[in-house]
Amino acid sequence: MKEYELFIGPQHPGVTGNMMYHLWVDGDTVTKAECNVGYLHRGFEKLMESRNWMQNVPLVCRICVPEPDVNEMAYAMAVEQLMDWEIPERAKYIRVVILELARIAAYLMSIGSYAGSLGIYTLPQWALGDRDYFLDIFEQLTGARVYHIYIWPGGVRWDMPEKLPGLIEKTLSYTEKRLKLYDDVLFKNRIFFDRAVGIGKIPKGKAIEWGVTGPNLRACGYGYDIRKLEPYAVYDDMDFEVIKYPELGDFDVLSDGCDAYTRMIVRRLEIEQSISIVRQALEKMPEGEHIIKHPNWLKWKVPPGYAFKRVESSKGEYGYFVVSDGSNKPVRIHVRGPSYTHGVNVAETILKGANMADVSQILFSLDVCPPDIER
Amino acid sequence: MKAIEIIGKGEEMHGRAYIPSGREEAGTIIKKLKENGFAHFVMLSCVDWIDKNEFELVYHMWSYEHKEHAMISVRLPRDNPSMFSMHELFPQIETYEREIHEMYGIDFEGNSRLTPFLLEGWHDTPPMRKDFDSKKFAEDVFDSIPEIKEEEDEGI
Amino acid sequence: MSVLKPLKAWKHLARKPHTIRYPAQEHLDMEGTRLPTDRLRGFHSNDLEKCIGCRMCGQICMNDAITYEEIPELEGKKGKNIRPVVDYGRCCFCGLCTDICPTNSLHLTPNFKLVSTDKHDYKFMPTQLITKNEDYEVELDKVIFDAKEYKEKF
Repeated sequence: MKEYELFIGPQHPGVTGNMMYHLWVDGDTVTKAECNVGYLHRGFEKLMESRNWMQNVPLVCRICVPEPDVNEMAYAMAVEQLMDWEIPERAKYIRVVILELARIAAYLMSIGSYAGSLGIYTLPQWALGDRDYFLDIFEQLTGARVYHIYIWPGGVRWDMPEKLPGLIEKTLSYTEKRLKLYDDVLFKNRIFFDRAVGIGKIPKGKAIEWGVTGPNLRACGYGYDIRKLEPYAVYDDMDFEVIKYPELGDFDVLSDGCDAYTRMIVRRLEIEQSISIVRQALEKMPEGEHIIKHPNWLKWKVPPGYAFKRVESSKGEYGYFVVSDGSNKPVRIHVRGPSYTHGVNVAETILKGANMADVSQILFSLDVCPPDIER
Repeated sequence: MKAIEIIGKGEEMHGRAYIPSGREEAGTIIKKLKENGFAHFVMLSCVDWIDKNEFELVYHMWSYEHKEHAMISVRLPRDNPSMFSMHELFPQIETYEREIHEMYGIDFEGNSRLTPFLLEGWHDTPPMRKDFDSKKFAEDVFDSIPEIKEEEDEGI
Repeated sequence: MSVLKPLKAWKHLARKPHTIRYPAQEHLDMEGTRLPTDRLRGFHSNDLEKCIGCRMCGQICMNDAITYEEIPELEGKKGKNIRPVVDYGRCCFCGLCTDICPTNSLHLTPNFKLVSTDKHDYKFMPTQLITKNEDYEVELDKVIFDAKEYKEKF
C-alpha cells in the first residue's frame, strides 16, 4: 500500500485550536504523527520581563482563553509567596467561588466540542448557550465577560455585590436540570458507547512517567487532585470527592480505564462536584476586607528568590515559576501548561495505529489547548 | 525534607527543596530521585543571569507520596553552553530541550530531535537571551513597512 | 443505554430559543436585570477640573495608550495644563489607570459602542461630559480632539 502524508491544518474543525498535525497514513491507519505548533506564539515570557509586577497582571490572563482565571491565580500566589503575604479570609472564599465557576464553564465547552467531533452537533449548540449564563455572572462580578483581571496579588480587586449570590444559585439549579438532558443525548447514547470505548488508551503503568495530569490521570485510576494534595485558597475547608476510574456513579464501567469513554465521564461527574463546592463557599463566606493595601505600583520591589506554585485547572496541572532578584521587574517567568505534555509527546505516541476517523476524537478527549503549548 | 535526605545536600526555600548540582552529577541525582518516589517530572526551565555570565537550568520534580517539590539547579557558562540529555528517563524532556535549544541556544548531547519547535526561518540570535532587544526588533521590522495611503471613495 | 432516548431533544421545538435579537430586544440576565451593569469596563471619562496632570496614568499603562496634550486656557490646580489623550487602538480596558489616579478624576463608564469609518475618531481626550448613556453609546461631540475645542465646549 502506498503511504500518504496528510496535514490536518491550522484551520480545521477536527483540531482543538490553531495547531497542525502532520500524519503519515497507510490505507486507513496512521503510522506516524508529528505535532507542529507555532501559529499562536505571542512571546508572553519575553514581554513579561520588561514590565513591572503590577503591569503583568492584565497580560497574564490572556494566555488561556477558555479558563483565564487559573493563570491569574497561579501568578498571584507566586508573588504572594515571595512577598510573604497572608491574605484576608473573605478574599480566599471569593477566589474559590470564581475559580469553580470558571471550571464549570470550561468543562461545558470541552464536553460540547467533544460531542462535535463525534458528529452529534446538537450538544455544542446547547453547551455554549448554557455557558453564556455563566459569562453574565462574570460580567456583574468582575466587569468583563472573558478576561477578568480580578484576582490580584494580595486578594481580589472588588467586593462581591449584594444580589449576586441569588443569581449564582439560580444559574446552578438551571445547569443541574440541563445535565439530565445532556445524559440523554450524549452520555447514555448508543453511538457514544460504540465509538468511544477502548479508543485512545494510555498504558496505565506509564501514565505518570509520560507526564499526564488532571482528569486524564484520574481516568487511569490514580486519585490525584492538587486541591487535595497541596490545598490552596480554602479548599481544605470544602467537602468534595475526587472522581477516579472504577467509581463512576450512575454510569456503566465498560472498559479497563484510560480510554476516551472514561475521560469524558470523569469530566461530566466533576461538574456536579464543582456545583456543590460553590454552594458551600457562598454559605460559609465571612465578612471582612477583600485586599491587602498595596505599595506604590511604580516602585514596588519584590525580595529575591525562586517561587513555584501549581493550580488544578480543568485541563490538568498549571504551574508558574517566578524568579526575582530584588528589582521592580521579574527576571524570569516560566509558564507550564498541561497541554505541553498531552498534545505533543502523549498524542504522538498514542496516535500510532489509530484509525483515521478516530484522530479527532482522541485529541478532543485529551483536551489539548494550543495556547498552553506556545503561550 | 525528604529530597534533601535522599541526596544529602541542598536547602529549603519557601517549602520547596533547592539542590544545586554540578554538570556531571545531575543525571545520577535525577535518577536517584526518580527511584525514590519522585515520579512526576514537572518542567525544565532556564534562567539567563547575564551579569554573572552564566545560564541556570532548573529541573522540577514532584512526588505524589511525600507531597514534596524539588528543584535541581545546574549552572553553565554562557559562551558555548552544552548539557547531557535526559530523555531516556522521561520522554517528555525531549520537547523541553528542543524549546530551550531554540530559545537560548544551549546544545543537548544525545537528543537527536533538536529541530525548530515554535519559530520558523529564524536566523538571528536566540530570542529569549537578555541581549536580544525585542523593542528594537519590532521597530526595525514593522515600522519600516510604508503606510498605505487610502484614496477618497465616494459611496460604495 | 437506549436508542430512543436521544429523541427527547425534539421537545426543544416548542421552546423559546436562547437567542436575543439585539438591539431590538434588551439583554437581560436570568433574574431580569438589564445588562451590562455599571461595573462594565468601557470607555473613559475624565473630569478636566479635578485632573492635575500628574502623568501617573501614562506611566502605569503597559501598552503606551495614554499621551498628553496641553490646553492653554485651562486654569488647573498646581498650575499644570496637560491632560491625557487616550488611543483606543491600543487600550486593553484593564482599568489600572483609574485605580492609580490620585484625585479620582479618571474612571471607566459602561459605554462600549463607538462605530465609525474614520480611524482618527478613536484617539481623543475624554471629558466629564461622557456619562452613562441609555444605549451605551459614546457621543463624539462630547470629547475633545484638538486643544482649540476647549473654549467652545466649556
